[in-house]
Amino acid sequence: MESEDEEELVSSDDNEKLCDRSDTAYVTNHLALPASCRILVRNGTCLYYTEWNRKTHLSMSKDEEFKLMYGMIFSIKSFVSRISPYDLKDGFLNFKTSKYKLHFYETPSGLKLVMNTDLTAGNIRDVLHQIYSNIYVEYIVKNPMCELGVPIKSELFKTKLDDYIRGLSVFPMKLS
Amino acid sequence: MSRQSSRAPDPRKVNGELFTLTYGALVAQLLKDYEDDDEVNRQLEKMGYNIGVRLIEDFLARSNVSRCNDFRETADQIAKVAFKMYLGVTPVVSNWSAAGDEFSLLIENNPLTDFVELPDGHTDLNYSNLLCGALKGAMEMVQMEVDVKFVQDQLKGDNITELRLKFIRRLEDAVPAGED
Repeated sequence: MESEDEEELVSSDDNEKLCDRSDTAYVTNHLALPASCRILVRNGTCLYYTEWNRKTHLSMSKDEEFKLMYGMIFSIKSFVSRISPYDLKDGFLNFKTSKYKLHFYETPSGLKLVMNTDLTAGNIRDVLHQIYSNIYVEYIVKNPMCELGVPIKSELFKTKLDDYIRGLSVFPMKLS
Repeated sequence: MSRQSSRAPDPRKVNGELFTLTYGALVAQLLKDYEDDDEVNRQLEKMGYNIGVRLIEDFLARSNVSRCNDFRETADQIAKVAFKMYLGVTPVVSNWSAAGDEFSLLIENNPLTDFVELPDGHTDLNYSNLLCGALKGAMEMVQMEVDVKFVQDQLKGDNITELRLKFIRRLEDAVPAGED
């Protein structure tokens, strides 16, 4: 009971704050570690999107949001690689606002994983790599019934990803 | 050594002979179905391509390599890591072109061709053409368009099996709508 109360409290607080910044293009909650996760491919198609503790939703459609996200990732990537004084090895990894942190992982094959979390999250590159190698490759690439490059419908993938994220030590149990 | 024998066999590994024989059966069936060497080459390349585009993801997940800085590094990765991982052999990288955009993989003992003898009248058949397709597909997924073909084949009486890879161009990320 106690934990439920707490959740309500914080989320209403969150909503309030959001009201006066409704012009922000992309806001996610700052409550628990993984807020949302999406997998994009090179041509910008969003293969999969899921969320855990995202408390706010935009009025725009998901498709619109995915386009914005791809456009932003694309721009940041090219910006980062242009102003970098060195040859980039990993490139753009994450950025932080006062509300959330966005993590980005791209495989050499052009698959992009984006995860939004709260500000307390450290480097979760390993987590994203695990999602790619142990979940995406295992259950999508190696499944001949799953076509590549189209949105993922596999239930198995969905469950495995959810289990993996919920199993992370940083995932707050009381909020799930 | 004793510890190794008690360990369960890697489920991703399959008996080499079974693999070779399965591939042989596949090629033989294709020859029966299409009755034309060139068409069989095309089909094998197509199959290989479809394998390659998926195999590269497995390769990246397992080897955890990052993007190569140049084509020479790519060549080394293909020969020393990828071939070793999937076929258990390490081809020699050689015959670089002056511009550095073309090289050969020399394969001493191609596991696909164990027990294989080409019957007469199949001089145009590239028995292991699946490899070309797989390389092409895999490279395309890492933004490199390459041309892969057999130059020499031990099955045709050459001393060595030689695969020639030619870099054609880099494929770029799609630009999002509304940007230049």
